Amino acid sequence: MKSTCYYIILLLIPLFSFGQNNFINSAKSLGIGDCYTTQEGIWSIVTNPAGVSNNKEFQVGIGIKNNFNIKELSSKTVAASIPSNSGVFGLSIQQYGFELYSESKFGLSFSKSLSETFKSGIKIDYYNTHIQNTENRGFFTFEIGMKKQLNRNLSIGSFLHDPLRLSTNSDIPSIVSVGLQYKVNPRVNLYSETESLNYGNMNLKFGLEYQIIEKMYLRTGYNRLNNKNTFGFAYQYRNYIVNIATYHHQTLGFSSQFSINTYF
Amino acid sequence: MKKSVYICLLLINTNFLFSQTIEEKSIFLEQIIEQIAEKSEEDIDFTELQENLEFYHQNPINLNNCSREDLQNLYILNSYQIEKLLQHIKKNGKLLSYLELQSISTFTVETIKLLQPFIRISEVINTHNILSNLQQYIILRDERNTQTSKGYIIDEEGKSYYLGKKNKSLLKYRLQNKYLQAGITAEKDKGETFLGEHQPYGYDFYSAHIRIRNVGKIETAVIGDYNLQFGQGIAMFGGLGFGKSSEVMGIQKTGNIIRPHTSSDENRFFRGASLKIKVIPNFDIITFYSYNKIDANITDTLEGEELTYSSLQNSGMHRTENELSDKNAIKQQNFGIHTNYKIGRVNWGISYINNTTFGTIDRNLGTSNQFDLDSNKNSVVSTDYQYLYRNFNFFGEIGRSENGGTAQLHGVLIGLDKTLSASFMFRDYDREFQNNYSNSFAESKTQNEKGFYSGVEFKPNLNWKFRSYIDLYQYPWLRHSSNTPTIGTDFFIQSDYKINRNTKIYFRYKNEKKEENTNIEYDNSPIIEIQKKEGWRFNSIFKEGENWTFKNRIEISKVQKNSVTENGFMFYQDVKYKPLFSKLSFSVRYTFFNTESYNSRIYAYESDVLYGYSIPSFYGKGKKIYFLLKYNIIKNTDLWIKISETIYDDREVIRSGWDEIEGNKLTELKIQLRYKF
Repeated sequence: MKSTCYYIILLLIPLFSFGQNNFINSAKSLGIGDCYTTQEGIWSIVTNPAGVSNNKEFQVGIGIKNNFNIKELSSKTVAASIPSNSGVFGLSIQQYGFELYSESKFGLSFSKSLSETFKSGIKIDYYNTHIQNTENRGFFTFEIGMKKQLNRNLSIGSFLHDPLRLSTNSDIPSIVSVGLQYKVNPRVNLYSETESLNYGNMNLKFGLEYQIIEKMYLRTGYNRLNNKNTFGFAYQYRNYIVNIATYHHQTLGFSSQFSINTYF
Repeated sequence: MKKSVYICLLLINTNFLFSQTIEEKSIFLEQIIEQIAEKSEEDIDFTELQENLEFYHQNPINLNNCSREDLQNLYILNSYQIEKLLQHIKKNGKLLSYLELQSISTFTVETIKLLQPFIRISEVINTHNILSNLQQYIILRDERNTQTSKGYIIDEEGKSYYLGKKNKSLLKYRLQNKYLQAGITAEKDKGETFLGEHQPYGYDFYSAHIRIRNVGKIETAVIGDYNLQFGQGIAMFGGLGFGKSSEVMGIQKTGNIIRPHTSSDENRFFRGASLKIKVIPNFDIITFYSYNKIDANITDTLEGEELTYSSLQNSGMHRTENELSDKNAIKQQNFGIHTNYKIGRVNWGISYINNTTFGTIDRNLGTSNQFDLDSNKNSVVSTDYQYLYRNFNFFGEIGRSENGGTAQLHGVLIGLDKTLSASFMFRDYDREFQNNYSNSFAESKTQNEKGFYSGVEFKPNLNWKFRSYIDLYQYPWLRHSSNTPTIGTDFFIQSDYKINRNTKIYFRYKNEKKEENTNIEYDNSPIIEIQKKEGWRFNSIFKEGENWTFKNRIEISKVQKNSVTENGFMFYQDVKYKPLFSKLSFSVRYTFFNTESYNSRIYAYESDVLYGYSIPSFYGKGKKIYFLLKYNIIKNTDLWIKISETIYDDREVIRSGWDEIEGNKLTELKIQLRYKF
C-alpha cells in the first residue's frame, strides 16, 4: 500500500513541477503571487541575486515549503549573505523531494550595486537529481539578475536562469522574467511580473504588499498560470523576521511556505 | 500644481461640468449594468436605479444631513466610502465645502465629480409640510415589432396562439417629494390581451405603492408593493444587487432598506406593508407583512381545495390560455423583521423571515437538486455585521434556513492609499441552504457554492485607472449542468485611460473557466470538462465640442465548449447629440456582429427611452442600427422615439418556437410620452 502511494506521488512529481522551478521561490515572494524579480533582502539570493546587493549585515535564514500537505513534496532552504568591501556574497543550499526522488541545488552568488539606482547580481548553481537505485546526475548553470530604480516610485527588475539551457534535465526550465515594483506610498507596494519558462509558456503575476503596522506586513497576489491566489504575512521581532505564505489549490488543497531569518 | 489647477477649473466651471457628469455617470452605470446582464440568466429591471438618479438630480442630497440610505441609492459611493464620509462628518462637524471631501480616504476628484450633481452641502429652508414641493409625472409607453411572429398569426379557426396583440404597453404615474412617494405602474406584455374576457381590468399587471419617509420616529413606511434589502443578502435581498462587476469595491451590500417596487417585474416583490422605525437613536427595526398571489404551475387540485404546485413562475408572461392559468394561481404569505443596532463603529443586524405558500408542493427532484426547497413553508434567520476599523471595513452575514442549512459570507474593503483600494471576500453556502429570497454575492446563487474573491482598484493619477479581480470558487455538490462537484475561476482586468478632457478609452480582458458536462459521454454519463470563455474589449468615448459624443467599441469573444473553439466579434459606432439648452437630442448607433453561435454571444448596453433599458445579446451574423430621439414638445411634455432594425445575414428565420419571425429583418419601435406637473 505504502509503495503504491509512493509510486503515485512519484508519477505526480513532474506534474506539480511542470514548468516550475522548485527552488526559485521564497515565503516572501509566494505571498505576492510569486513576484520575485524585484524582491530585496536575504531571500533574493534564491530568487534574484541583484536584490541582496545592499545588505550591510551578515544574515542567515532557513525556509520550508510544503505543497498540498504532502510530506514528500516539501522543500528546504538554507541561505546566508556575507557582505564584503567589493559586494555581497550569497550562499544557498536547497533540497526538494524525499528518499526515492530528490533534487538539490547549491548556489554561490555575488551581488553589487553599480550605482545608487542600479543593482546587479550573478549566481553559479549546481543542480543534482537523485532517483533511488536509478540515477544520480548533476549539472552546473548560472543566473543573472538586475534591478533598476526608474524614479521615486517605480523599479524594474529582470532575471535570467539557465539562459543557455545547460540543463540536461528538461524538468528544470530556463527562466526569463521581468518585474515591476510600484511604491504607492511608504507602506504599500504593488508588484507585477511576467515570466517565461523555456522561452514560452508566458506567466503573469500580480502582488500587493501592505505594511499594516511598523513591524508587520500583509501580502496577497495572483499567479495566472497556476491560477493561485496567495496570501502572506511577515513579522519582525527584534532581529528575527518571520515570513509565512499560503494558497489554496481548488483541487489539491493548501500549500504553505515558512521562513525565518536573522541578521547580526 | 496640476491638481490645484484642476480644482480651480472645478470651481469655475461647475455649470459646465454639471451636464458632463450626468453623461459620465450614465457611462459609469452602463458598464455595471452590462456586466450584471451578462451574468444573470433572468431579466433584471434597472428602472428603479434610473429613477433614483433622476430624483436625486432634481433633489440633491444634503450631505450634512443625510441618511446612509440616500447615499446608497446613488450607487456611486461604495460602503467603505459611505462609512468614511459619515464618520468624517461626525468627527469634524458639518462639511463646509466640496473640497473637504478630498480629505476623506479614497475620495478622488473623479468620485467627487461624479457625486456633485446629486449632492449639496448647504442647508435649504426645510418646510416640514409633507405635501410641499410635490413633483408628479405620467409616462405612457408603447413598444412593438413591426414583423409578426408565428404566435400572432391567425389560423383557420380564427385564433392565434398568443391571445393578445403584439405590442407591449406601460403606464406609470409617480408623485414624489422629500417625504412622500406614491406610484402606480400598469403593464401589458407582448401577446397579452388588454380588456376583454381574460383581462377584465385592462392591463395584465398593476402595482401601486405609497411611501412616507422621515416623519417623526418613522424612517420609512410603505404600503403596497415593495422590496426589502437586509444585510449582505443571505436572508433577504429584493431588487437590484450588484455582484461581480468592474466596480471591485462594490462587493459589499448595504441592506437595511425598504424600497418601493417601481419596476414592472410581476412576481418578485412583496405586497402588503412594511415599516422602519428608529426606536432609539442607534437602534432601528424593519418589520413587514406581505400577502399576495403569485404565478405557479398547478399540477393538481386536491380535495378540500388544496392546490398542488410543481414550481413558481417568474416570467410574468400571460399570453396563452396555459400561461393565464398559472397567473396568480397560488397565495403566499411572508412576514419578518430586521433589526439594526449601531454600537460605536459596529453595525449589527438580525433578520428573521418566514414564508408560507398555501398549497402542497410536488416537485420532481433529482440527484443534483435534491437539496432544494421541497416544502411550502420556510423560515430563515441570519445575523449581519459591519465594522469600520481604521482603513478596514469588515462586513459579513451568517444565515440558517429552517432545514438547518447554513450560508455565510465575510469580507473586507481596505483603503490602502488615496489611489489604491482592495477588497476580499470569502463565501460558503451549504448545498442544504434554502431561501428563495436570498441574493448575496455569488457566481450562481446562495446555495452550493464556496469561493474566495480578491479585487484591486488603482488610480495612480488623474488619467489612469486599473481594476482587477479574481474569483476562485467551487460547487461542492452536483449542479444542473455538471454531474460531479466542480470548480471555476473568474479573472478580470480593465484599464481606463483619459487621453484628454474629451477622450477616454478603456481596455478590458475577461477570462472565465468553469467545469461543466460535455456532450461527450462515457458509460452513458457526460464527461466533465473545463469550459472556457474569454473576452477582449476596447472602448472609446470622444466628445466633440459641447454637444456631440462619439462612442466606439470593439469586442472579441472566444468560447471553448465541448472541445470546440468558437469566436465572436462585435463592433459599434455610436453618435450622440445632446445640446445643453435644446428641445431636441438624439443618438444613433450602428452595430456589426459576427459570432459563430449563441455560446460566443456578446452583450452591449443600448441607450433607450427614459426609465427604459435594453441590453441585447448579439449572436449570429448581422447588423443593427437604432435611432433614439428625445423631443420636448411643450414645456412639460417630452416625447421619446426609438426605432431599431436588425438585419441578419446568416438566417431566413429569426428566433424559434412561437416567437419565430419569417425573414431576416427585425424592426422594433418604441414610443414614450412623459407629462410632468
